[in-house]
Amino acid sequence: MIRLRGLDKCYREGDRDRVVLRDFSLDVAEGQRLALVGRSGSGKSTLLNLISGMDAPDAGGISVGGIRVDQLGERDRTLFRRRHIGFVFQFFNLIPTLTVRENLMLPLQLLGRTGALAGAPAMELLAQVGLADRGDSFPEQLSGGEQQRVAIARALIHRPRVLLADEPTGTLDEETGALVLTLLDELTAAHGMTVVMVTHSPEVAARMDRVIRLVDGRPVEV
Amino acid sequence: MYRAGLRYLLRHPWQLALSLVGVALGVAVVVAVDLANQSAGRAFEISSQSLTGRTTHQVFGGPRGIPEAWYVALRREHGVRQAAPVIEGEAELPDRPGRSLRVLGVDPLAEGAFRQGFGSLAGEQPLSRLMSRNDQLAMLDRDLRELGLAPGDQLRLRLAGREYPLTVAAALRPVRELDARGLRDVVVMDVGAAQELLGRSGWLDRVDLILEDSAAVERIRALLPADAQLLEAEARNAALQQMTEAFQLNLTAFSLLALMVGAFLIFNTMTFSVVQRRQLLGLLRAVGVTRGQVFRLILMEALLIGAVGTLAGLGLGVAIAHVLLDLVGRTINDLYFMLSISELSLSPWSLGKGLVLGLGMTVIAALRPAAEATATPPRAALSRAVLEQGVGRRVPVAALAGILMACGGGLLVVVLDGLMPAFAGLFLVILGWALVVPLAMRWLLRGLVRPLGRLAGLSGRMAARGVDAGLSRTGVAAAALTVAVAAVVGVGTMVDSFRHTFAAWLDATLRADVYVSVPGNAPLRPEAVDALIATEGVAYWSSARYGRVASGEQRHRLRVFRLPPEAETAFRFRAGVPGEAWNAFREEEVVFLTEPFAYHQALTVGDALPLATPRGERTFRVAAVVYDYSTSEGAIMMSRETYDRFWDDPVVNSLGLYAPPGTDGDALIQRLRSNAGELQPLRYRSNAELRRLSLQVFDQTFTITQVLRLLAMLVAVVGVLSALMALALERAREYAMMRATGFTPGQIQGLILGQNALVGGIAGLLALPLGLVLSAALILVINQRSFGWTMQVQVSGDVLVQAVALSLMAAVVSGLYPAWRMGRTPPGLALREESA
Repeated sequence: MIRLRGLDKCYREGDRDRVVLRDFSLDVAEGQRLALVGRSGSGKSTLLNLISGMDAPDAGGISVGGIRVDQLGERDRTLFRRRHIGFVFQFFNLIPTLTVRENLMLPLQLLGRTGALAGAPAMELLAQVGLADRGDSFPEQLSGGEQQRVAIARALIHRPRVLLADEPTGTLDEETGALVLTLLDELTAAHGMTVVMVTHSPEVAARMDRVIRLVDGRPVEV
Repeated sequence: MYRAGLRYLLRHPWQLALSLVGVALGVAVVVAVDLANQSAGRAFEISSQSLTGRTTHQVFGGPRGIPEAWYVALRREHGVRQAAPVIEGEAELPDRPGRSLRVLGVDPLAEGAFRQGFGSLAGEQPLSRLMSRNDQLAMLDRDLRELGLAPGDQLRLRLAGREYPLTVAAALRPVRELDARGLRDVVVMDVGAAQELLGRSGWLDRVDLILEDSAAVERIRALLPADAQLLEAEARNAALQQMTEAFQLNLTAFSLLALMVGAFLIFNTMTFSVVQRRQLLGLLRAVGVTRGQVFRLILMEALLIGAVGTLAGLGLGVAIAHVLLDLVGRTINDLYFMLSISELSLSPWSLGKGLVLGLGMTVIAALRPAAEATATPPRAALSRAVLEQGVGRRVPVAALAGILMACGGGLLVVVLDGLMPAFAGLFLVILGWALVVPLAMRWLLRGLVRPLGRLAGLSGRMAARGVDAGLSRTGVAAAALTVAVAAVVGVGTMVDSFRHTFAAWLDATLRADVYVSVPGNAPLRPEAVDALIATEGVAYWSSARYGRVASGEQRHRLRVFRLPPEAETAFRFRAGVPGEAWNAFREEEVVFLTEPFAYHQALTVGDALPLATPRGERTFRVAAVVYDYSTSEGAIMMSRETYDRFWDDPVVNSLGLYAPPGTDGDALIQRLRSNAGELQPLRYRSNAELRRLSLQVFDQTFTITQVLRLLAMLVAVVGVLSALMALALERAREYAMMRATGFTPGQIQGLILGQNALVGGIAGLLALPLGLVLSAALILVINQRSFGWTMQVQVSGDVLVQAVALSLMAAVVSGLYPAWRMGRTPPGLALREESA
């Protein structure tokens, strides 16, 4: 499903270049649930950005579902992401000026589904994450756990082929984190989605099918 | 701690630069107007000092002046030696169109005791030539060098319509620099030569005197001709300068408006700087920094920005002042008197005022953000939502305070007399409305969410809610923009109304087909008058005599008209009954007053006005007050019949010639030229040409107002640019996340520009009511109290549409850079930068 070959990526920091990924290669099978672990700054989030087309590699190839993401232009990368990728962030990143329901409808509307075609699935998914009565609330009126449940729902509403999660439980307490992960497991498993999740937690990593540690910009199978 | 603050500023160079530019522009406009005003005042003072010299008193005559014979008798028969004759006029330089010089005819022998600047003339070889020949002149050494001339060279001058080749007899080299500055653009000639060349033989404009004590004053007073008056030189100069006070006060008010917009800008910048750093401030508090230290940190930053911005503003102000100086000078020359303002006086008072205003405004504007910063709890980052909730609670309170303030200001404008309360009231109205803007904007935005949602889907709703959600920033930016756009509307409507009123008045007043006069307002020769009115195609004619007349200690403009009944409709009555008034005008001892005159002198129909005539002081009844927009000083109007009964002065300054309908105006001018051209060089102006020229002068006098209006707008644009740009950049993470969700760069750019357009559009709309109130106050109160003119309010749809468009454009332009930047930045990078 995901095929990464010889990826190089470095960032400019002041006068120096900081190498994050070096000749990085990895395959992730369809429906597989992969955990990425490693020290802070080891390139885990960068890898997610590259897979989703939010950032471009300095060298190497990225293929997702047969689509060569690295060869797409800026606009096509956006359209690819819109259709095939779901993203869950550590800090939820809901749009503060949209209500919970509108946040959920957003990915569908971007795909051209408006009105009931976006509204009905949004309400259905909200019910699944247990927030059916919070559709008209704004994100700031929700707790952290609730916000993350909305974020997960938003990431999944358009049935992407790949779900990328960047420490989705990083800011949540243990109990809420466990609930969120269970929800994530259920929803992704139901649709056979490929999941790549960045985490610092061994417990979270242990729930996944496969764990990769990033060391010096390269993958080490755990 | 201070290092952290400084580094923060340096890491946001755009924001820093915009706030510096905002402070600098605000200060620059105030300093520039002040310097231009001060320089005009200083130029007048220096010119008065140099040209008045040691003169203590001056004798002025009636409309024709003082008979030279009286002066001769004063010296010879009454032995008054400390007396100097003066005649003044204007000369044009044919080789340098548009440049004019002030002609000063003096008696070089009498000058020594009066004007030190001319001292260098006395005892010099050329003196005898200056006195003995009529084609000699003396000029300031510096002016001669500027014209590329030296003593002995020839200079062509046009006086009273005729060109003369004159010879430079001497270069004036005053010892004192002040005298040199006061004599700029002055041509000194022998009084006899000046009289002849100006067509004023036998008459003087005034006689300067040095009178040591009151006995000497009384002695001269006893010798005065009946229509002459003896005035103290200083009082006379002060009265002249006072004429420009209203004009200068108006300019100052405009400059303060720019500073007010600048203060909004500083407030905005400082609020931003605090809000953006709430995490850093929380951290500082966590490591033990006290509330007081945080407060001082923010104030120190404000002081730093204020100091650098103010210093830059002072420099910029001096540069702008050079441009304004020319405009102020032109306006004073057009409206009041001839004044050469060639140098900018860098008054420490003006610069100091700019410094205090710039620094003071910055610190005052930073007080609230600084207080807000101290509220940041240690460790916990104050969430945007909490901040906005706080703002949300304050907005209605501010609006209520604003409404009270605006009402108070309105009362001040209407109830109290005078200009200062009117301006103070107007500023309160502006400030009050600015406080209402955030709440009005919130209401409008909430009302717009649904329509915009229907129009542009989620993006539309997001745009409206986004502006609302950032009200702490967008509200202030919109308020600043509203004030600036309101100034554009207010001043635009005022200028439009004035122009419309002036044009309508010109249409009503200019009834003759051709107007004939002598350049420099010299008298028309009687034979030329006869030839002109006898020309074929002239059905009837009117004549005018312009001069000054004494009334008590004052000197007023007098206009004497011989009018055919057909021309009477040219006058519109402000007060008085036309039929009765015209009968009285021709047959009784009455005068008409122009509206500004009646206003300044507090006279109305039925009042008595004493005037000095050659037959002694006579009292004239005011029969009517007429609309007139030719001079803000105002004038007295008298019929030729009445004038001839009291003055022995047959002089005519201009003729209005009326032709039967269907007459070819150009052909008539041709015939007039061939009939009278040989007798005297005359200026012929058709009705249309005179109208065009009058409007041209009008537009020129308002150039400075337009320039100031643009400067205020520029300050606002910088403010909006700074506020909206910072807002967009602050939301970088939000936009990056939207990009991650699948928004294209174009959609993000559209959203940013849409939000800015909303701010601009709403600010523009909210500016309209304030602009119209402003224009009504400017037209009906400020203008009336400054100049005494009644103007018809003329609201032009163009001005309103342009203002909203300008506001919209300013806001959209402000969004271009953030939109471009957000569109270009890969979303992953933005997320990474934000989390860094």
